[in-house]
Amino acid sequence: MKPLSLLLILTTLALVSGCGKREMRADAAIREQILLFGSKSEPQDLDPHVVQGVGEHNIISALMEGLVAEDPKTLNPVPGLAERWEISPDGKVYTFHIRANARWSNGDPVTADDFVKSYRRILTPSLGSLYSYMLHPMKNAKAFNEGKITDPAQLGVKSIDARTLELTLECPTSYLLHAMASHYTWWAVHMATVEKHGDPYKPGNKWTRPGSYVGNGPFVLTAWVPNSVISVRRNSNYWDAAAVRLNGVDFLPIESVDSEERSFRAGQLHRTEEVPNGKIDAYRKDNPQLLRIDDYLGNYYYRLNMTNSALKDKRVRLALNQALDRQAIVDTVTRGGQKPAFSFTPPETAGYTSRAQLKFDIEGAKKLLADAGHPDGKGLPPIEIHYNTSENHRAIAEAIQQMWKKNLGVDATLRNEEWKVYLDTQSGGTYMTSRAGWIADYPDPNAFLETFLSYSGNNRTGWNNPEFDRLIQAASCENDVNKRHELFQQAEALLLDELPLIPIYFYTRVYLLHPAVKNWHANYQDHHPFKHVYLEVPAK
Amino acid sequence: MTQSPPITNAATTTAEPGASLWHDAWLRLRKNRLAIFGGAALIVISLFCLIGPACSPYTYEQQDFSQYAKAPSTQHWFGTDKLGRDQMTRIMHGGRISLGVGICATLVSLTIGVLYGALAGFIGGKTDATLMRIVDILYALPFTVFVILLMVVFGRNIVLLFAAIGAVEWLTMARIVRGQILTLKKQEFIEAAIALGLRKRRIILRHLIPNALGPIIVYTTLTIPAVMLLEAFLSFLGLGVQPPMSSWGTMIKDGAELMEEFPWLLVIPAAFFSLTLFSLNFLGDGLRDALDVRTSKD
Repeated sequence: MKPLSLLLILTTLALVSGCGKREMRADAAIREQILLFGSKSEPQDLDPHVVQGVGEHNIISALMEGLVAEDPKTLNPVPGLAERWEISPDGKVYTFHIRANARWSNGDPVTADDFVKSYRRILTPSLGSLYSYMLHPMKNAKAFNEGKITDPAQLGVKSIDARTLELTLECPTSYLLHAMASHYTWWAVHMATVEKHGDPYKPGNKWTRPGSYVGNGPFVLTAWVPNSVISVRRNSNYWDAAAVRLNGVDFLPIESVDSEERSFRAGQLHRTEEVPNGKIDAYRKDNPQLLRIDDYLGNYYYRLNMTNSALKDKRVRLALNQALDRQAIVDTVTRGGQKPAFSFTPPETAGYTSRAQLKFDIEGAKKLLADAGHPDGKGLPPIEIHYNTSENHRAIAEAIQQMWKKNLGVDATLRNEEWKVYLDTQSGGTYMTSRAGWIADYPDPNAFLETFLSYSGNNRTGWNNPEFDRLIQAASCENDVNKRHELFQQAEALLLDELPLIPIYFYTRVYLLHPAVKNWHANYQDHHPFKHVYLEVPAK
Repeated sequence: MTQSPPITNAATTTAEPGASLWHDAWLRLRKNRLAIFGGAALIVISLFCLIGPACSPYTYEQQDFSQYAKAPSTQHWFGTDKLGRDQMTRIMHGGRISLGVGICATLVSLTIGVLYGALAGFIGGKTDATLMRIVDILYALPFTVFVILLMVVFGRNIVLLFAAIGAVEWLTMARIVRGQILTLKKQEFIEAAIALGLRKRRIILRHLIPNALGPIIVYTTLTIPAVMLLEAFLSFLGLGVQPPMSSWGTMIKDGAELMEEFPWLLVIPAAFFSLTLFSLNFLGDGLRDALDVRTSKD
C-alpha cells in the first residue's frame, strides 16, 4: 500500500510541478548566493577543539580560519589570519604576523594571545579532546596534554606582541603548515566567549549556539535547528569580506543517502555528501555532468576492538582480514572507482607506499582460524559489525558478513547507530568491529599512521604498542626523507602484523554537484574553502 | 428468527446437524467469491513461503557478485538485488517473517484484547473503570519508545519482536470489545442467560464474544497489515529483522530507493505485500458477513 500511495504522490507532484512554474529552492538560492550543502549527519558540536569528524570540518571551516589558509586548488598553505610568517633556519621556530584587520565576528581584534590561550585549551587534559595529538609537534605539548607538565608557560607557544605569535616545535615538522591550514585543532576560539558560557576546560560548553558563536572566518552562525538546518551568513567583520562571494551556506543534515539524492533531484541541494551505490551507474550514463568522482586521500576500514576476548587472538584478526574479497566489494558494492586496500596508508602518499601488504587468501584464512581453535568458525561468537546509519555502509557490511560466513563459517550481525551515538560507542569501546573512515589531514603518511598511536584519541581500538609509538615518534624528528619513510615502513608492517583494523578500500569522493557551483576544485582532501566558492547560473 | 445461535447452543444437544454457528457461517462464506479467493490466495502465499525455500536452488543470503541487480530471467525468476541475491528466495523468507509477525502479533493482541475488553465490559463498575484506566495509561506510552525499550532490555530477538508488537496492539481491541459488550449485555438473551443462572465465564465465552465477533474480525484484519508495516518500520530503525534476513517491509523500503534503476526490486515484493493485504481484507469482510448473526437475520 505504501509504495502505491508514494507513486501516487510522486505522479501528482510531477504534474503539479509541470503545470505551475514554481521556482526550485536550488534556483532561488543561486540568485541569493546561498549554497545548499548536504552534510549527512547532525554535527557532534561546532567547537573546533571538541569535534572529530569531516562533516564538522565543513561547517567549522565556514566559521573559522587558521593563521594559514588553503589554496582552493592545491590546498597548499597560503596566508590566512597571518599575513606572513618566518621559519627559523633550523626549522623549529615559526613566527606568525597576524593581520592588522583580522577581527572576530563580534568586532574584537584577533590577537596572538587568542592562539596561545586556544592551544592551551585544547591541550588541557580535562577538556578531553580526542584530536589534541595534532598539536604534539609543538614543544612540550605532549607532556602538557598528558598532565606531566602543568605549567602552560612551558608550552612552545607565546605571543611576542598582540600581533606576533611564536611557535616553537620539538623537531622540524615538514607538514606543519599544511596541518595548520587544514585542521580545526590548530584554529583559535574566542576565549572570552567560551568563558562566558561555562568552564572552557570542560566538554559541553554552550558557546557554540547561534547568537553566542564567535568566529573569525568568512561566515557567522545564524541558525542551528537540530536535524534540519545549520545556516551561516556573511561575516562583515572578516578581514577579507570583500572577496567572499557567497552570501551564506545552509548545511542540511540528511542521514539517508537515498533521501539526500532525492532532495538533490528535487532541486533542494547544490551538493550531496554521497550517492547511493546503486545509482552511480545511472548517473554515469544519464547525468555525468552532475556526478563527481574525485580522488580522496582516505581509507575506509573497520576497527577491531582489541579488548574483545573473541578478537584477542591475532590469527583470528588476520583470518577475518584475509577472507575478504576487497576487489569484489569495490567492483560490485561501492562502484565508485575505489581501490581495494591492502595496507592502511594509501599508496603513493607523499612518495610512500607500504611494503607490507595484506592479501586475499581464503585457504590461508581458514587454516589460521583452525589454528586459533575455531575450525569453520566453531566456538567464535557472532562478530558484530557496528556502523553509522547509511544504506551504503549497510551494503558493504552485508557483503562482508556474507564473505565471512561463506569463506570462514563465521557469523556476523549488524548494528547501526546515528552519528553522535556511533561516535560515543566507538570512544567507549563498546563494540566488536566498527566501521571507520580516515581522511588525511595533511598529505603525509604520518597523517594515517599517527591515528594508531596508543595515546591518539582516534585509535579507539584499545591497541597499545610501545614499539609502534616509538617508531612514529622517531619519524617525527627525522629529517631525512628516506630514513623517515623507512621508520613508517616498519611501523606500518607492525600495524599490519598486529591488525587492530581491517582496511577495506581507499576512498574516492563520490557526490553530486550542481553545475552552478563555481570555483569548486577537486582535491585530495575534498576541501573547498567557501570563501572562494560562488554560484552562477550555467550558460544555456 | 428464534434461531439465535446462542439460544440453540444453550439448549445443547439438538440432533440437527448444521445448526452450529460455525457451520452456518461456513455455508454463508462459501457463497462469497471474493472471500474464498482471498482465503485461497493466502493459503497459496503461505505455502509458497513455507515450502518454497526448500525447492529453491539459492539461499536468501547467498551473494553472487556476477549477478548484480539482474532483471527477472529464467535463472532468477524474480531477478536479483544489489548484492546478487536471488529475489524469489528472499521474498519467500521475507514472507515467513512478515506473515509470522502479522499472525503471531495479531493472535497475541486478539487473545489479550478480547478477554480483557469482555471482562471489563461485562463486570462493569469499579473493575471496568480500573481496567480501562490501565489501558489509558498504556495508551499514553509512546509506542515506538516502548518497543525500543523492550528491545534494549531483552535484546534483539525476533520472537520478542512478535510479542512486543502484540503486547501493545491489544489496547484498541480491548476498547472495541468492551464497547460491544456494553451494548450486548443489556439485550434480552443475556438477561435470559443471567436469569438461568449461568456462570459469568460461560456467559462471556459462549454468548457475549460470539456476538461481538463481527467488529473483532474487522479490526483483526486491520491489525495484521498495521503490524506488518510496524515491523518494516522497526526493522528500518535497526530494531527488527537484521540483515541478511529480510522481511517484505524492508525489501519494499530498499526497492523503493532504486525504483527507477531496478523496478523489479520494488514491484515484486510490493505485489506480494499488497496481494496479502487485499486477501486478508476480502477474507475478513467475508468472515464478518458470515459470522455476524444479526446481519444474517435479514
